[in-house]
Amino acid sequence: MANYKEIKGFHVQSQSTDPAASSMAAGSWASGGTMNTARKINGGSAGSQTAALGFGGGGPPYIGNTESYDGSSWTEGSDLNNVRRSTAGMGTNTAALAAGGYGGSNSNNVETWNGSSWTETTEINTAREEAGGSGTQTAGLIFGGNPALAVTESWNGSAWTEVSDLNTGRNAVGGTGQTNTAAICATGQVPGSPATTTLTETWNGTSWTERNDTNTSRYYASSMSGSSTEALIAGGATPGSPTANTEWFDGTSWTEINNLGTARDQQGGLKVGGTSTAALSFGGAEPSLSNKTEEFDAVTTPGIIEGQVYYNSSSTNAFKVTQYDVPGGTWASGGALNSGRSQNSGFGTQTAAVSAGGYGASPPSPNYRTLVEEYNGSAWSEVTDIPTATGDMASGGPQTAGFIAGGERPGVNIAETFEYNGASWTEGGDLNTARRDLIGAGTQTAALAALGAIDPPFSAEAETYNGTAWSTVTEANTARRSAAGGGTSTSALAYGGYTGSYVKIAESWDGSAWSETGDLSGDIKATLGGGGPSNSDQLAFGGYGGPPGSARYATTEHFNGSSWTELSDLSGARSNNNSLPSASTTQQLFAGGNTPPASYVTTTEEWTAPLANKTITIS
Amino acid sequence: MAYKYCTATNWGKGFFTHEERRQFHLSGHPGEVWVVGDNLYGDQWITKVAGAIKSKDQAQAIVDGEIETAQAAHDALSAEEQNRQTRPVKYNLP
Repeated sequence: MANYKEIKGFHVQSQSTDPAASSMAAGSWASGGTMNTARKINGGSAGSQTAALGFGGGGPPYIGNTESYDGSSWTEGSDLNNVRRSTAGMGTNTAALAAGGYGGSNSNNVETWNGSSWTETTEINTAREEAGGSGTQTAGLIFGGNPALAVTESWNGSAWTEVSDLNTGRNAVGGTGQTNTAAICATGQVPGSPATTTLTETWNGTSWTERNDTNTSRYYASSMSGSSTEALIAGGATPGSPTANTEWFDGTSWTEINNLGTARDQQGGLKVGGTSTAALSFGGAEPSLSNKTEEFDAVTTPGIIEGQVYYNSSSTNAFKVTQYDVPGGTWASGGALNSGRSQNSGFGTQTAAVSAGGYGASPPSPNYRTLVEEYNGSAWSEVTDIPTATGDMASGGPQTAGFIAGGERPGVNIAETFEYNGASWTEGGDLNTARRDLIGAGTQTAALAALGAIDPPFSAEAETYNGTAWSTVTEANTARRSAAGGGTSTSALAYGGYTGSYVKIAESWDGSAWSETGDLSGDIKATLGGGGPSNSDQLAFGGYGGPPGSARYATTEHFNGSSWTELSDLSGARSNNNSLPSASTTQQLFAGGNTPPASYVTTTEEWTAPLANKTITIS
Repeated sequence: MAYKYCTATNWGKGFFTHEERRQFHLSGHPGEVWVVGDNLYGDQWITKVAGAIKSKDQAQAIVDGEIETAQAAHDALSAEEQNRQTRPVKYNLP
C-alpha cells in the first residue's frame, strides 16, 4: 500500500501535542505534593516552584503553621510568632518576610524567616490583611489590603516608607514581583457592586500605572506568580464561587490559558524566583479548606503555523489543520487617527493601511477633507493629500497600489478616480456614473464599484476598472446607497444600505451577475464597515440604521458564503468610518467615524482572528 | 463534550500530570468530585486514581453537600468575619 508521502510527496507530521501560539498557551497545571495542613493561606507565601514557603492561614481559627516545599513534598517548620492569616509574603523559602495579616483584627506585625524560624521586625505603618506583596526580605513592597486600601509601603530591610498609592484601592488582590521597584497588582475586592475587579496596575519604583484588565473579574486570586512584565494569575473567586480560571500577562495584556485542576481561592503562590512559566498554587478554599498543590509549567511546543496539517498522536488521535478562527476574533484598540473624521475611505491591510479624505470638523467648519493618513499597525501618519477634498468614495487595493473612486464634494457627486502608489496620487479614468456612498472592491488594475447615491434616486449600477477605464456591467438587483462591501472585481459582496429605508440585503457578484444571498442576521443598517477577500468570506461591522433609523451599532457579523453569524462587538457603536474592502476577515481595521454626541472621532479598532487547531472532518 | 463523574482522593504529586491535562478534560470540585472527559485517556486516569464512578446527579449531590457544609460554617462565623468573607453558593457541574 502506498503511504501518504508516496502519494503527495511529503510526510504529515505526527505531534504529541497541538502546536500552540505560545509555550504558555500549551502549559498546564499538574498536581503537586499535598500540604500537611489545609488552609486558606491567602498570600502568605514566598519562593519558587521547587523551593516554596507557605505560612499562616485559617478560616478562623487562625494558624501560624509554616511549611516548605521542595518540588514534591511539604515539610513543617517553625510557626509564625503571631498567629494570623492573609499576610503579604515576600522573599524566598530561606529568607522570607510576612507582613500584616489578620488574627481577629488587622495586623501591622512583620516577621522575617531565616530558613528555620521567624523573628519579629519593624512593623508596617498601616495595619492590613489581604494585601499584595513583592520583592525580597530586604527590599520588599506591600500594597492594597483590607479595607480597600490603596496604601503602598516600601521596605529597605530596616524601615517601611509610604510611597505612591495604587490608583484604585482594593483588598484580596493578586500581587507579585521580584523586587520593591517592579511589581504587579491585579484584580481584588473594591467597594460597591460588583465587588470584584479586573483592574491591573504595575509599579515602577515610583508610581502605579494602569494596564490592560484581566479577562475575568475576581478577588482572592492570591496565588500570583511572576513579575511586572510576565505574570500568571490563577483561581480566585467571583462572589461565592471559586474559579479555576488562569490568565497570563505578557507585559501588555492578559490571555486565558489552561485552568487549574480544581477551582480555588485564597491560595498561596510565588514571589522571588517564581515565574509565569513555572508557577505554584497551594492551599485555599474549594470552598472547604484545601491542602492541594498544583504546579504550572509552560512547555516548548511546535510553533503554530497557518495551514499546518499534522496528526495528533496523543490527545485526540486525529488529523488536524491549523487555520484562522474568524468566529474567535475580537476587536482591540489601535492607534488613533491624527485627525478625527467620518466618511473616510480605506484600503490596504491592518498593518499597512490608508485612510483617505472624509468629512471632518475643521477647518474652518465641518467639511470634506483632503487629508490622507497611513497606518503601520500601531500609528497613523499624515502622507500626501488627495487633490480635492472628498468623502464617501469607493476604495480598494493594497497600501502602495490602491484606488479611490467617486464620492462627494459639497453638494456634488463625482466620477473621478485617483490611484495611490504609496507616495503620490495620480488621476485615473472616470466612472461612467458620478455618485457617492458606493462600494469598492478589488485592486488598482481590476476593480469593482457598485451602488451609491445619484440624487435621486439611488443607483444599482456596477462598473469594473481595468487600470485605465471603467466599464458598465450588470446592475445589482436593489438600488441603494451606503452599503458595505468587499472582495475582488470578480467575486464581491454588497450588504446593508439605504433604499429609503434601511435594509439587510446582501448581494453576491460573481464577475458577471448579482444574486441575492443571505441577509445580514442582526441589525438593519447602512454606513457600516466591511471587507473580505471574496463573495463567500466577508466581515460587516458597526453602522447606522433602524428601524426607526436612529441607532448606531457595535455589532460584527461574518458571512461564510451562505449566511451571517454574529461575532464579538466593537468596543463602541460607530458608523461612517473607513474599513478595508479588500483585506481579510482575519485582520480588519475600523478607523474614525461618528459616535454621537462625538462626531468625527479618531478611534481605531483592529479585528484579529486567532489561529486554531481544527480536527479535519470528512463529510 | 461528554463527561464522566467520579470521586477520587488527590494524593498529591502525580495524581494528575501535565500530559494527562492535555489528553482530556479534568476539573476538580468540592468533595473530591472529578469531572473527566469521556475518552480513552480519561478512562485510563479514572483507573489510575481508583476513581469511584458516580452519576452526574450523584456527583452534584456530593458537591451540594460540601457547599452546604461550607455555608453552615460561614453562617457560624462572627458578624465581622462574615463581612470579610463571602458565603459560598451552589453551582451546577458541567
